[in-house]
Amino acid sequence: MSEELFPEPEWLSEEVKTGTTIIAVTFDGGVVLGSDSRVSAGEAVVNRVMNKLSPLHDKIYCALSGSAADAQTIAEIVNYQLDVHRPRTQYHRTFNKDVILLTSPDDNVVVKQKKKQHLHEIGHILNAFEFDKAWDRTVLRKIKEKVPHDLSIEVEDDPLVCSAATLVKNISYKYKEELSAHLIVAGWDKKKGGQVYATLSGLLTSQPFAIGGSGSFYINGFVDAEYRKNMTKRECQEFVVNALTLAMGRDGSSGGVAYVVTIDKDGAEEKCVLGNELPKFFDQ
Amino acid sequence: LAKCTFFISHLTFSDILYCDENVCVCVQTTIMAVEFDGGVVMGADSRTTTGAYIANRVTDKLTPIHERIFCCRSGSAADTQAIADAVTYQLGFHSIELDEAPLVQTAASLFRDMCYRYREELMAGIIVAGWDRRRGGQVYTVPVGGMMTRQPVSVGGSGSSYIYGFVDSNYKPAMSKEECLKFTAEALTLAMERDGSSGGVVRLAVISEQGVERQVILGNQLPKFSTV
Repeated sequence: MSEELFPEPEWLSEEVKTGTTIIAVTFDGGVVLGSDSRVSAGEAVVNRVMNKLSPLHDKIYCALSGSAADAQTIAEIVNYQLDVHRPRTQYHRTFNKDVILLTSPDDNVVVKQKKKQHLHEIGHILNAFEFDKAWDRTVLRKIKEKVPHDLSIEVEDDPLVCSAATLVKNISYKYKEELSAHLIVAGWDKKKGGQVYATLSGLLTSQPFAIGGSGSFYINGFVDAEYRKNMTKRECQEFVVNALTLAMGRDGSSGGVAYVVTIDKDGAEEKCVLGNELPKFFDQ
Repeated sequence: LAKCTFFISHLTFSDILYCDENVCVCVQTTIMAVEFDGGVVMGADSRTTTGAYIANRVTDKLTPIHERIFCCRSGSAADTQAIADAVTYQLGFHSIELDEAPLVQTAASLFRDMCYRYREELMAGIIVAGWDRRRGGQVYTVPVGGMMTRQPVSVGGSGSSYIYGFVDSNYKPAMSKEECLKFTAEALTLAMERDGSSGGVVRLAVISEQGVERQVILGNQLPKFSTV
């Protein structure tokens, strides 16, 4: 009897989706990512303040849309895979001499003191061989070339945005039938500066800007009209906030606050624009 | 409609004319009307599709209902033509009885009555716009279902989803006629660029006290955007 009067609300069994609006735009020197904050399950909003911009690395972020579980899982997996780019911070207290593990005693390279310290800090064990003088880069290069694969090797440089995007794309493509999530990967690297990659259903394409999510349909015209090449950082942030506001105004499954992340050579800066601080447009 | 797996989910019900497992026929479009002080500007694209074939690439979707009242049609072509013919007849009769030009609100009400009464059978989204002596330029929208409301600017059709953001951000009250023309042309261009079922040329009509001026903007004369 009670089930007829009060049927179970459908949001208990609906899949949790991030019907959403996400946008990423390049400017001269970096990228700006933006997202709304609404997560819906059917008609109910299950989280009104979710941050859909998740970090993959220090200067690479991705924006999530589609099924919440799928998108978060992909982001976590790629975050883990990119952690190989982080230096370790283990100290080896038992050795009082720095040692380099080289594959053969014929390798005769020497390391400057500062570099030895660093290699010690990041967990390499150094052997005390007779060394000739050499450049530090040579040591690292030889280590990278010759150390067998089962020894985990840290790569010093930050990962390229293209690599992060490729990792996301590989997962999206391989599990294309099972997953329904669309991630936009954006970041800054030394080689090509600010870049935005769209990875919808397993394709990978680099674009000056990308929009995604259910709310993005309504701002297609707006971003086509208003995007300019070589905007400044300020203009780019305003452009992203305006686009998000317009989409949240029209799409029922986008709303809440706007999260904005700006990435340039100095790092990533996160900002949250609350509802009453969003720009106002003419509302007919 | 669940069988239409090859369509993107945001297509509205009104765009799909007929659907079974083999074929899906949609009449999709982008239409728009804007009020300004002294009249209205109406615009539409020019593409009619049956499935993937473009049946007519130079369609005129701006239909005259009376001397200074036009309507933009979206949804089923047959339904909207039938409704427009019926309303034209009724409005002509009404105007002769009154011996003066009919009001735009009267035309919109006639559309609304018919769309609401037969809302189960029809699939018609109509924008009625025109000029009359009492209230000047007016735009009324009668979407699927049979509601009627007056709005200063109204967009409709499948391509309209893409330009809501643009229209919300760029519309300002009290624009001049030239600004309205430019605004409409830009919005329709952006929609035609993104919507596969809108395209061709942009047909514009300006209705004011002086009468109706019609314009066509050909493909190569459309406004250009940096990404498009």
